[in-house]
Amino acid sequence: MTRTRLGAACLLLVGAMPAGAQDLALKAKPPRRVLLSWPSRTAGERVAAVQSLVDLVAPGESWRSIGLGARTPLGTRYSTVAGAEWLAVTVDEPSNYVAVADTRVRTRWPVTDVGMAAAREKYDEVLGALRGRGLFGQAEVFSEPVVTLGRMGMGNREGTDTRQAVNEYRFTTRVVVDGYPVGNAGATIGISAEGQLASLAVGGAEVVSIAEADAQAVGGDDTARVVADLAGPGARLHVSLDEWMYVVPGGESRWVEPRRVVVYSRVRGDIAERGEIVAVDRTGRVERLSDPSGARGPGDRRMPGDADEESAP
Amino acid sequence: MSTRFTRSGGDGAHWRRESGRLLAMAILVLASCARLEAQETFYFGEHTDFTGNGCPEVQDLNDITTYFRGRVLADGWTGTQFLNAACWPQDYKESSWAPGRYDSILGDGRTLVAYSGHGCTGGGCLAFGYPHAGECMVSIGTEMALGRLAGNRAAHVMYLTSCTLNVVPPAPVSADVALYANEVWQQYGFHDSPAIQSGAGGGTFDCTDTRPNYDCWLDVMEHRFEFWFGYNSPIVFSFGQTAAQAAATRDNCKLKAGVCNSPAPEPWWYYVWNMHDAGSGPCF
Repeated sequence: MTRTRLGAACLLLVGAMPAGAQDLALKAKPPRRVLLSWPSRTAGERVAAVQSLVDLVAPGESWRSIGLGARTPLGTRYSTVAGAEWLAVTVDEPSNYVAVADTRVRTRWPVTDVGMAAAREKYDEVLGALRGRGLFGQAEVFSEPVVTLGRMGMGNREGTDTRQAVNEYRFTTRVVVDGYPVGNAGATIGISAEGQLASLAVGGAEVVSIAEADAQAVGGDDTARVVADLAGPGARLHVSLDEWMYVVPGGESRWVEPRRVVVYSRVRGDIAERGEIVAVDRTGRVERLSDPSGARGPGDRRMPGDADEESAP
Repeated sequence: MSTRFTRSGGDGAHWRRESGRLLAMAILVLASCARLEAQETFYFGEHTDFTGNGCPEVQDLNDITTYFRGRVLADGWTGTQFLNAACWPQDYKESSWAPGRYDSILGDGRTLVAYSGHGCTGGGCLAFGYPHAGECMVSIGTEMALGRLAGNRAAHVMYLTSCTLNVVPPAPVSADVALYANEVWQQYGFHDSPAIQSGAGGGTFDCTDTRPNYDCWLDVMEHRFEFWFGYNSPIVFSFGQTAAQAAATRDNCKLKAGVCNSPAPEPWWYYVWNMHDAGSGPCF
């Protein structure tokens, strides 16, 4: 087994493949395994990461004038920068997640809409700038981005005065290793409808080592049957993502091969279930990546006014 | 005295901007005063067990309201969390329309009301895993009236369910059902079928100490921070008697900071909505 600290040499410099091409690739060549882990950053490193993003999203704001510094509550998940309330900083330490957003974009009717193609060009430019700031370790390859939209609208009770607009194009990309995306590491770059950088989020797990696959794990591809069975009897399956990637549940560090990740929900009659996320390995073994905290039993029913209605201890 | 709000000659844009600030400040002051009079309260109902209980058999779910409950209790709120068989569809149904309904003391007896479970493709129902009095659903359009009629205390409604606030362009057709049923400051839900992490409700609440409710809902409910795929489509509707008031509701209301936790002005006339749109999933 080869254990190598992640370096440029370890990254095969190709883009992420669609699911079909990935299937063929798996059969042609056993994928390598990667060790994913969640890095622990010092406060100084987190402040530096936030500053890097602020410099890009709000270049007119100096570090001091927007109040970021040692007292900024980076240990908490969400904060708004004092003196610049429109600038929202999000830090989630367990998932090594840092985000900065100009929230004014979310509430301002855009004067113009540059469209997807121009927004994509801006995204490419910003991704290039991010690469130069060392926020992804030595990762150099990113998957083709998934695009989501920021939208806003209004209306009234009479059904008139109705208006809506796209206010942000949001591109999410993932680090790519050996031709497969890492589902736990990436970046989201938001471009306003007017063509300006509006939000940035980066972070996730680190690829610590790469090794050749365990020969015993190289076998048949039983995932197709498993995915087809996700619907179960009498239900309609809606799949919003189906892609091979390296992924671990949040907080877990372990060796993984590429697995087929499926994000889906089922419809039974009129009922639309909430979404589920599963990872299926090549032997057909399924791991639920959605929050695993399971169903609970019936609780006691105490009506309001009872002495034991809940309040803070 | 500061000249911050004095009109500078000829600067119309400045005046409009400052007028907007004054309006927002007025709302904030009114809502903050209301907080002094009323204790913030909550009702969280949740079904996680959907198998073998007598209602339609669907996927079991993770528990979201337990962490959420802990966060609001820690902030001094009081209230009730009912899980599975203890949570009845009747808790959300308008009491004055039929006997055996309890929204006057539960769903519409509290500042913040949430339901966590499954929804309907068309957005018009809440689905439960355990029946009570033979009922497994709430038909939002015909049975729910939060923030009005009996109870009349609900100020914010959260649907941790699929499709309930699905927006079909060019008008919010599916979401209309919930919009017109209730009279509250804000309604929070999803345009799709979301995968929601167990800490998301509590995380949203904590975020609203400094950031507006809509902003927190969008950022926290959009995705799980450890995964860079599988985004949800969270959406928030904010209400007011004018378009400017609806926008001020969106920009200023903060649950944890105690802004807009009094009953909302009735009737609302305008709404604004904001969302992160990752698609509509199986909703229509």
